[in-house]
Amino acid sequence: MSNWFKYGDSNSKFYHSTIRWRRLKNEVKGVELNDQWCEDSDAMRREVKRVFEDRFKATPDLGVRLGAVEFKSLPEDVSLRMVEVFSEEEVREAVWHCEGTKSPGLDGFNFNFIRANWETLKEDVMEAMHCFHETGSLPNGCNSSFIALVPKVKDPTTIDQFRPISLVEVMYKIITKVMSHWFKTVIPMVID
Amino acid sequence: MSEGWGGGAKAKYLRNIIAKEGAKFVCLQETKLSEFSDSRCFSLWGDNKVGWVHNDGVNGAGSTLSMWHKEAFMYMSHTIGKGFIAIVGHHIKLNCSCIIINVYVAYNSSDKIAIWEVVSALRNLHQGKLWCCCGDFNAVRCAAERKGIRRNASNKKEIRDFNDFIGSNFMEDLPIVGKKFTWYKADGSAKSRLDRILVSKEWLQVWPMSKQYVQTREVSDHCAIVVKSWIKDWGPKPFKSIDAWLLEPGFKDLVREKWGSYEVQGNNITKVKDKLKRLKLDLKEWNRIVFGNLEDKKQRILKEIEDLDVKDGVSDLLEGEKLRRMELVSQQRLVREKAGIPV
Repeated sequence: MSNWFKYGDSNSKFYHSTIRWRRLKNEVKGVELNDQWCEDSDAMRREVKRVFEDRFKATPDLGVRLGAVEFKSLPEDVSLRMVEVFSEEEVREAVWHCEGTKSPGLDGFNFNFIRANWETLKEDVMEAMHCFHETGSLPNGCNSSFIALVPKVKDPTTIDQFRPISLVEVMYKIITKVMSHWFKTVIPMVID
Repeated sequence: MSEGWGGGAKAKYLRNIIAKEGAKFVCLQETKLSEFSDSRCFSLWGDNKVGWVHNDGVNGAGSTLSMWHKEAFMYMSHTIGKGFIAIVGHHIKLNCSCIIINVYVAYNSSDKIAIWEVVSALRNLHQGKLWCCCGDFNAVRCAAERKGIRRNASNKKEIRDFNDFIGSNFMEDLPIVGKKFTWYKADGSAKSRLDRILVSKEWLQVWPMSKQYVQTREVSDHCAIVVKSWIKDWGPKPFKSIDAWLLEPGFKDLVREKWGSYEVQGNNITKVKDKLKRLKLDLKEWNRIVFGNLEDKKQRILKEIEDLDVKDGVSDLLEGEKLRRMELVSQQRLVREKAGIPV
């Protein structure tokens, strides 16, 4: 790590060999399928799809009902505030809160880009926020994300030895960020 | 890598791998032969374009064999000692010096330490070369690399010593692919990762995606390991916005102008998505024109700086040089982001 501070910030031999090693380590090299090592890209793609479809499919209804439980609820003035329209300031704040260099989703834009061009984009982003406020849903295809696979162990051999990291698009990120800011302020009121 | 020459089965197994992989360099351990010959070598290799050095060991014990493709590797010299062969040579296509050390480390711990010392000494002697040390080390790097073998007290120390040996010689242990272990007891009750390939940083510069592909175990209790640098093609890389663009004068105006020109239909959320999609295509094109081929551009600028530095010795060129250096900084940001390293 100390080497990284010293030499990492320049076009050095150290920098390039670090990148190479990192690439080599993180590469998905193959998977074990029925005890057989497999490196065919298409077979690997199918296996990844199978594993994640299986993991993310809807779980069967367990039949647990909480109808009789008295939940704490928010005071009326607070709950009314929860349905107010999004303000430009809070959206801007959310955008500035997002890490600028994090890997982008399918749209390909990171938040350094969004911030630098905020004056151009903000009007359309606000329109989209209002649209979300009205409809309460994201149109099909607007919440697709990349799933990046990061090895959890040295020399992984199966897909579940990778940690899936979802890389979401800009609009999805802004919406969730704004909402989580809201929740953050009220959640202490409903939990003990 | 294979132990014992045995009957024809092992030779056949090796011949297959050598032919299938188009081997350039082969290291065998425990040939258990007290001597080796050209005819044996040619039959393994499939033709006579092969050079070899055999370490006869003591009555065939600790014997090792290194072979190379004469059209890929030019032999310069070799050193032989108990349990190892070091070959120094030249990679013909890349025109660079290589040293490949083939080791067979006996289980005996004093022999182990002796070989580590020899390898370390050779490492110091041949710094900066493409370096590869491979073979049966009879040692593991962590407890999980041995299964089914009763641990003894020396185990922890041995693991520590082996890791010290690798670390102090600045060697990298290549990622292993296909299997976790390279040695299996015949009845399957025990397995270990006794064989490995260690390389230098210089090696990784030339072959950045080098991996150890552990082959199926057929004729020996050890599995053959194939090293190759193979880059998997996953198709086109997805678009990413590059922070260095933001430093380019006029970039924000370009974004504003393009953004305003898109006519899109649909719901306001879809609209943003579609506009970003259109912007992506326009920026891709803009990037190609303005930044072009990074490597070409980098080389050009480096060359220019060098020229300026030479001139600087004669007269003052500080202002021009400063500008060039700034350009390089912007370049570096690009390379960094394209490589996916956080700034």
